[in-house]
Amino acid sequence: MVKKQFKAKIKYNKYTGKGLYIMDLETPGGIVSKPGQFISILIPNKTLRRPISILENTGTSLRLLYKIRGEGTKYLSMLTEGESIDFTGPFGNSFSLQKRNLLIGAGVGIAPVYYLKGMGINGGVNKGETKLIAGFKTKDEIPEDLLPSIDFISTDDGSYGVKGSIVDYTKSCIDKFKPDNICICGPVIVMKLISQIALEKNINCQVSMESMMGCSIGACRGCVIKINDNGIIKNASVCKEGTVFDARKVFYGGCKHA
Amino acid sequence: MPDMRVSKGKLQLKNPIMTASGTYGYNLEYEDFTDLTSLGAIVTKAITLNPREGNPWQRIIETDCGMVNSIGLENVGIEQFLKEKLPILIKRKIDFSVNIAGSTLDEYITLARKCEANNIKMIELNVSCPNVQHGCLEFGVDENTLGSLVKSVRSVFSGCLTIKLTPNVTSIENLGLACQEAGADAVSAINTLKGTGIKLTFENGKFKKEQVTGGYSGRGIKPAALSAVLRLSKVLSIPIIGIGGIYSLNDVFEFFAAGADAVQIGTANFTHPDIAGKIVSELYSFMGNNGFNTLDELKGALRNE
Repeated sequence: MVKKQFKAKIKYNKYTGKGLYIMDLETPGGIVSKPGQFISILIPNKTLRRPISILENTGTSLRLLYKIRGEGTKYLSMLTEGESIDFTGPFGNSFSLQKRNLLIGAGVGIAPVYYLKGMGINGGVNKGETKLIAGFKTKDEIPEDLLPSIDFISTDDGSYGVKGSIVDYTKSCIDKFKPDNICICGPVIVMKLISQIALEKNINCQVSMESMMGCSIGACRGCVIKINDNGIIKNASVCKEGTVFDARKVFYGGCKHA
Repeated sequence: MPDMRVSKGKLQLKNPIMTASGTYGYNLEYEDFTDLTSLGAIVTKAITLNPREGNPWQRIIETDCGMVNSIGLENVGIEQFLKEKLPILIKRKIDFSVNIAGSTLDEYITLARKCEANNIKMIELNVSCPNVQHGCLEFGVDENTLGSLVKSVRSVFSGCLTIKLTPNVTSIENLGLACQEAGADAVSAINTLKGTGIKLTFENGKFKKEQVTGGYSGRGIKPAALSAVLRLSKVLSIPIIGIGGIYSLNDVFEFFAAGADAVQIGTANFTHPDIAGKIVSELYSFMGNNGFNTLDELKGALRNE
């Protein structure tokens, strides 16, 4: 039995603009996690836990980035320093890095790729090079704390960094940086378009998917998406077989907002 | 030392706390949260003759007091279950019941035969899944059809034969009676209620809608489940396994009071993955601390109060 259920005290929970929050949880005993993994947080009087992506693991704290989307995340946003939450996890698989890695985060999707970038620098996991590019709608949405690790930024309205969509910006980054591996997390449409570009250019590409989750551990089959495994369309649970999938395998017909 | 055993005919459990089909995987999914060997039994995900892909996305939605699912019986199929999942249950000494679902009478019989041949001690017939096009629920809503199904399965399966009943009928009593007359050893009630969850958000001048129609489960169905158990207990002599919205030991007591002999915990496993084992220990402590030596004593106190 590996311990997978925790009560953790909130060190801070701060608004970082446009409905985005960073929550820092004390984990004095340390928790083993990997970029792309998530934890599932118990929300009082709600049936389903809320899966939240890990932004950083310092060894004694877990940092999360989340966006208010409904009642569950609204509840999280109102918690303050010293209060505790019950979470399970970390769950899911992780990204793999190669020599030249282009990491792309769109909006709140920055979390797992930001974590991945940090691992590259601090964890010594990656001997290659990593560039992190982030796309936001507007300047106010950008979490300031994350800025030092982000190499390039685009905003839809041009209020910060390069003006335009992250998809267009990625194209020019690919030409400049010539990655042999791309890791993306963001809205499905962004992941779909960028993975198409990557695959056309024959670049390895991994996407971190999201889905409505029931159990978080692969038991209920509630969060499954369709993947194309060598020509056979089959189910894969986002919680256990994901969240990270080879972009070549994801069949975007069978998932959120496709 | 309190004795938590359930011993009613072929229904033999070390304690009355089971986990419900579809919420607990096939075998070890919850091992990081609860001691699986401490449970009365886990009921496997529904197993069909051939593997099933299930329904397309979106399959689940949270609702007030619960959730709606439309998984559509995704499962690995009986052959893979017997080959890969069953040996682990046996090796790890986990007590279990295999939930089987067919789309025809012959499929149920074949599945039951295979269970018998593999020395499986307990099966639960799924005649109540609301999320598939053919079979399953069709067997669970008419007492003559259900009676013949149970009779046929009974003739090929010698272990504990449990039938999981749907609440989406006019008289669950008549269906329970049909099972009893056809030789069932127990009934479990209830499966999910028919339900639709709709979630609307208004963004940038447009409504966005998420909608899932399927089976409603969770806290909200407890009164419906208690009512079904109560009505069944008035007419049946075979044991009843109560299911529906159990989140605490007190909920278990409510089911005992309504006439259940054992219970299954379902949706609560998603909210609290450690809940099943926790309720087993709480039941043990409660009985020990309050002088109940056997489950029958406890049930007696709950029913005669």
